[in-house]
Amino acid sequence: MTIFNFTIRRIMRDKGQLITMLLVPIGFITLVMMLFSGGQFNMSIGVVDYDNTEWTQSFINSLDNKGIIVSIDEDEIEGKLLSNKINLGLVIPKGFTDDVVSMENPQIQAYSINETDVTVPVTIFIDNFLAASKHIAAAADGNIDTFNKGISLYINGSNNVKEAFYDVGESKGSTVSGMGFLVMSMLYFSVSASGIIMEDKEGKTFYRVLTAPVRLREYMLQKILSFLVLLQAQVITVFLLMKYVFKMNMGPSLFNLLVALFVFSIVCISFGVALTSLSKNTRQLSALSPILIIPMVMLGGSFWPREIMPEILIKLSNIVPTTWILISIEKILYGQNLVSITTELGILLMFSIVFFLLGTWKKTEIEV
Amino acid sequence: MILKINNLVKRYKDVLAVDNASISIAEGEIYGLLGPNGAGKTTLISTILGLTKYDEGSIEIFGKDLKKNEYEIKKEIGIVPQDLAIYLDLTAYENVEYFGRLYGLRGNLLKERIEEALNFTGLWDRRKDVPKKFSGGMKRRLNIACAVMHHPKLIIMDEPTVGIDPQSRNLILDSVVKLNKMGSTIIYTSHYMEEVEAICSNITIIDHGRVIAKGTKEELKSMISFEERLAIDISSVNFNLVDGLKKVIGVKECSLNGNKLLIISEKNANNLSRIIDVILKMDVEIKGLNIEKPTLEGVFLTLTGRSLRD
Repeated sequence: MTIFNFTIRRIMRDKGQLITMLLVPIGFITLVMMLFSGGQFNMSIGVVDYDNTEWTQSFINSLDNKGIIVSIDEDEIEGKLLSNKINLGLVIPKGFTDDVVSMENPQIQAYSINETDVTVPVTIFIDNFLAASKHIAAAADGNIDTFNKGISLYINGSNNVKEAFYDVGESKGSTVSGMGFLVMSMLYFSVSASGIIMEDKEGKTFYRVLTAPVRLREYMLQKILSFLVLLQAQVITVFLLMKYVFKMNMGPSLFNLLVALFVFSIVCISFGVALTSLSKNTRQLSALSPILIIPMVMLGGSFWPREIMPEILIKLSNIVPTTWILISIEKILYGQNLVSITTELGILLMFSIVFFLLGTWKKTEIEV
Repeated sequence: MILKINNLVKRYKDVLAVDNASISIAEGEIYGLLGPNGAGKTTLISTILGLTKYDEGSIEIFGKDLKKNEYEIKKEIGIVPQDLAIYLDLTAYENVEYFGRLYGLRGNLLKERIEEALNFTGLWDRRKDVPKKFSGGMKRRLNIACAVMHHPKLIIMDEPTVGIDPQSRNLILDSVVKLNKMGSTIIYTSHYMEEVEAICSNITIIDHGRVIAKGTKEELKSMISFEERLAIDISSVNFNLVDGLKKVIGVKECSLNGNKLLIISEKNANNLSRIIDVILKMDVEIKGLNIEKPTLEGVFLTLTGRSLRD
């Protein structure tokens, strides 16, 4: 593992690499935190309650800590959304509580201009509240008093019930933004680290190493392994910082996030190797990387939610790996498990295969 | 034979980089590979090292076929590449350690060999410094330390003295001889014929990928002993002068290098007075005149019609 060890040693000594690896994501996340904490966002939720029962009151009260609740008429919703007086409009239809108690499948209509980071936690909270209500209705077996008592216990009460639902109390908007910048930094770092292969070629040490009893595949494997380890170190360091220094909400499973980002680091490395192989020199590599990475992270949703982009760009964003990792991260942050992101992870692995093929497609002979 | 190349052919598309080359090198030799830049020396070396695939012929090193035993053979070879191939961001010690580890050295043996190689090249005191701080000669010496620390049976030195000061060059040439005395066979490539002449026992001259002559120094020089070489220092350059001298009976070749005329003439042509006449008639003053003994440069010039440094 000589090549592996010395590659790590060389990268860790390079100030430029360290800045790309750690300072860039930390800097961006600090900026995000300053923006999020600088202006605490108070969401306005407009509610139209046609049912007006004990359950709907409990439900509206429970929304209280998610934003400012405004009672409005249904025909005001569109105007207030457009004038930004409310961010979310909810309509509870007549007979909703009865439908819940009788185990039917009633719907609360929710209106927003775009489903952004701000509204997603609330809509997820509503889904959870409804799911909990249905469980309680099933236990109450149609008895409205028992049902109301159960709801009351659920809202005020025991930890046992509370723990059954993951915490969506804190907005994960800042976490998602932070992850966006981490994803960008991972791409930049992997290209910068892969540049060490280019440096070896330009400095002729690549040629010299291959005159030793070392096969090309051993050399590449150890280089790739060292990049992978360093990318994990980058992710873990940034995670620790996000969780313990910035006190960000990292969702219910840090492990799942790490797994998703591990898959993405394979994509990053394959991307870096492909770019290194296709570039003629380090200059070209440095010029190419922002040209490719910036559009990738912009389309993928690192800087803003993908949903606010025009339809054509959203469709286009499907062909960049950043989209799929950010979708995975968002899903994990909002409580979904690894099984629910297998498609996204599969797509990411496909990207890495394509990039690796691009990287190895060129040259069968070593140029001296 | 430690190395046996038979009818080797290497093509790059339409360019014939190595053209039917056959070379045999015995154990314990310092073998010179002489040729101008672009003659095919580096391609030949890359082929010997298994880095470049060849199209025809065969290579045997240590009595083993290269294609079948490449990995095993490489363990016993040390290469000093033409370009500096050291890590500028690792210390001198780490550079040697890195290559030592690649050749499988570990533990105390590794430490001993690092110290030995750095002492051998006079860099032990600078072991903690990164090569960025080194002079050109020191970098070249580190380049050598990385190649010899695993005690290879065969050391290939590809133009190891390019671009360095005379003192470092002498140090390197001394170290080549020392390494040979310590038991390594050495292939030394250069376009500096005086270096090859000084240290090599057997020499092959390559041009345009072809082996144009091989043998001992004396054998090669005897190839041109039927000629006389005249070096004349002149006061000024007159471009009609070369043409005028070429017309003198017996003059085979005439070239101008700065204010120095190099004339190759048939032996016993008795044309010296005629040559001087032509020069003086053109109002050019003769500052000095020397009848040169045959050199490898002369051999090359005679065989190819051009200088090694062209």
